[in-house]
Amino acid sequence: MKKIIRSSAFLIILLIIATACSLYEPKIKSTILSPTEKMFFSRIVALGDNIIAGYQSAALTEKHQRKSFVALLAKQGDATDFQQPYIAYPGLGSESYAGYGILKLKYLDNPETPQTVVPDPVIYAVPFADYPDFDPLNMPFISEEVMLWALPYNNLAIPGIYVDDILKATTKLRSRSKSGLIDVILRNPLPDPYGYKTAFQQAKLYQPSLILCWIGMYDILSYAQYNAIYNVSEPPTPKEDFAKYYAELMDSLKSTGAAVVVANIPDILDMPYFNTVPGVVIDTVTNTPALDDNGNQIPLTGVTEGDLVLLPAKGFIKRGYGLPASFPNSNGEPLPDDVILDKNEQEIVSNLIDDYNAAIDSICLLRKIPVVDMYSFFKEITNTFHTAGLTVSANFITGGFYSLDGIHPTDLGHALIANEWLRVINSSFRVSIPPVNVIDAIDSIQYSDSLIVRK
Amino acid sequence: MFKKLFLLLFLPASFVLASGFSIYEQGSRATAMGGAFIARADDPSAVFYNPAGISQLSGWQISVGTTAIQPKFSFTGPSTMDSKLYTEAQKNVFFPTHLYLSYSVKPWLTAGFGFYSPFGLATEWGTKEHPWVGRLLATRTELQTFYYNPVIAAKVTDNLSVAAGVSLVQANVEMEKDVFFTPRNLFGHSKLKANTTGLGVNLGLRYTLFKRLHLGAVYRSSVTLNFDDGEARFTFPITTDPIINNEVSSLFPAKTKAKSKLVLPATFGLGIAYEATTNLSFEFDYVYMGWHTYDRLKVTFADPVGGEKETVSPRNYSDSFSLRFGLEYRLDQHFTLRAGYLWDYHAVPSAYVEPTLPENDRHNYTIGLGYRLKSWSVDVAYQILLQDDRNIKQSVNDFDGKYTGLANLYGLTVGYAF
Repeated sequence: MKKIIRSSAFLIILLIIATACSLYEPKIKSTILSPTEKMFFSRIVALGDNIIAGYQSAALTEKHQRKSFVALLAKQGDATDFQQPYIAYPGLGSESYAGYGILKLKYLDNPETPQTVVPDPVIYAVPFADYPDFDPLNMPFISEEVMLWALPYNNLAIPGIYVDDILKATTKLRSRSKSGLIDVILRNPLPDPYGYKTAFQQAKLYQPSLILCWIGMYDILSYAQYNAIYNVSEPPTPKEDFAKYYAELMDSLKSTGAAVVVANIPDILDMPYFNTVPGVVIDTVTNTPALDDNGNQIPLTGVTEGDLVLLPAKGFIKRGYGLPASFPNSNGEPLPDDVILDKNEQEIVSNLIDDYNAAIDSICLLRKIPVVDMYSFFKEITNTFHTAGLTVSANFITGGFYSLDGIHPTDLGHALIANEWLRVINSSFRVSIPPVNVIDAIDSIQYSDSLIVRK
Repeated sequence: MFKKLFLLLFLPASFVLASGFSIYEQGSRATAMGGAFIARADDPSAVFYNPAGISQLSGWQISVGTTAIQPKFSFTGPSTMDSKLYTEAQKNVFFPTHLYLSYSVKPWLTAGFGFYSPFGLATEWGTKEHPWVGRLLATRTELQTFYYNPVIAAKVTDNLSVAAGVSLVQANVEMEKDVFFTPRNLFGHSKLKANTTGLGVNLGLRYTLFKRLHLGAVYRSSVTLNFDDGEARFTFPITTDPIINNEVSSLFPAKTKAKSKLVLPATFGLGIAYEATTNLSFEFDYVYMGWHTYDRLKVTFADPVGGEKETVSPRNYSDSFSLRFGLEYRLDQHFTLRAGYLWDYHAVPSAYVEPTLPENDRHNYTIGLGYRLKSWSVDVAYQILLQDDRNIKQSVNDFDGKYTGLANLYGLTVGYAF
């Protein structure tokens, strides 16, 4: 009997053990910001050119400005009253001179050419005419509130500007780059007593706590890309001038007393804009390279080996440029030089990127300004990047990183870029701002992008 | 550039859980002794642990039971997003059951039959409403195996018995995860479902020295499971743009045939048992599992999915082993107390740990009680599995973080001797 009691006691102990074993749950289940960290991000300001402005698919529009890496950083850092110069749909950009806004992907594979072996995407620019309420000249903003915002915008980056424009440009006419968006974003003249203020002066007025600055890519891109308006390629900013302007800019940014973070320049020649259109004749039925009688690919006229054919060449080829005379749809003209980057020009571009980046490194090292290595990060994308089961590459349209203009990153690209900046910010300023949950970020993009109606 | 078209977005995740995904708890008496039962093997569950052991059993014997497995796993990370983001796997309870029969045909010949599930389990992360951060790697994975295992055991001498058996194996697998259609920024869901059968053999040997010292050896062959007739389903949300809906339906078949192959590992075990007194006995076992058979998971589709006809994910498991120690103390003619400890070495190399199998080295403590009355026996067991936390860096999926886990196992087996 004693033994039975002993055994029952044993059984009870056993049950206690059984119910007590559970997983230790941490009290903190995701990173929470401290007041100092919030303070650090409270007065965030961005300066620079295209990508940092949130420009993508050939336009600046609210939809993507809200997903730009600066906006994501502001969100991660819990910045309040964060305001950007939100442009209404379909946005302002490189096609606006002709009355168009953002680029859209109509078909992943053109249904009019059903025999294509390789998909044949159809991209179009959204015409302003489709949006009669959109007034690109007088009121391109999403609301009067944004247009009349009493403080400088937190994001003062301007697509299409050069390095010296941040310190010198007040209007399009008083700038070196002549970017049309200068007037939109800087809103000069400001109400009295401020008058004409440059991007830097506006940033300084705001008394920033943190300045993000990414400039220099457009100094090279403007030279390398096809320009529909100015047919003559402007020579790129010489490296000596770039270094001088950049050093001046860094000194100015430092003088505000804010924490400053900058980024170097990606290798633009890796971008789909320079790598999507092959230099050979493409069979319009299969969308694969056409072959001559000996089974060899046929180079486009005007293209020599080693040339990069730019994305806009597609339109020219459609009109018969570059096709040898034996092709029925040839117009007899070679592919224009403007849509080809020859070896010599490629070397100029590559050398300049190296020179600019060397200058950025040494200037920032001297001034103890942390540099986000965007050059290396974009190279990682070129070599295919993986995170949490997601694969991102530099392939046009399907790669996920580059938007439809083949140069500027997508919303997904911005989420990845944000995390690179955060890593540098966290390690340089001893804060621990949580990185962007990229998977959740793209989950929210799918609703803004494709208007899901039923799950 | 378009050649690689349509993305590498579909890399399927793997099967399931446990030193690899084995379940060694196939009898509550053995479970209570840390699974150290190869040398002892003196109840009908010997069909699984060491079939040579059934030659000790007289007349007809039957036993039936189950082990309720209640795993709890969590993941903290991924470090590239939020190193403190904590996700707990959905709590599920599994009931792998076992049934054994033995019949002594002649004094030297015993026949037996076992039904058990030595591989399996399931993992589930996030819900449809609240998808988790690893949704592109795995959301729900389930594998079940059922072994139907007749055996024959023979006493070669008074001290030596040998056994052999064949196993008909039935397996069901389901794997679910989300897929991302990059050009249109859309999340879809994929579900792979397959079942098949396979064959295996098992061999056993048991030798007694000086009446008190028992030695046992057991071998269970690998089993090749060819999932030739599986089914893959892809579902995407409907959008307002019919062009996108068409693209999705042409790239992701709503339903297609899928093929895959899985080789369940071979097992080899050695045991030594010692009867210290008439009431107290010990056993120590070493069990080796050839997990290297799971080197990759390849799924082939009948119709291309996202432009791809097959997907391959490397698994690269390595062989693992467990050390098992158990003791049994007979209180009186009715009650028996048991306890044990076992250490399980991981099968998944660090770089390949992913959410379908958040595995690592495990310490297990077991305890149990047996009750015997006339021809009846009832055995209960409790096992706590404590897994070492595993910090993953540089995983092949770029999904680094910390996996933690434990499991409570409750066993109940009822036996009857005719």
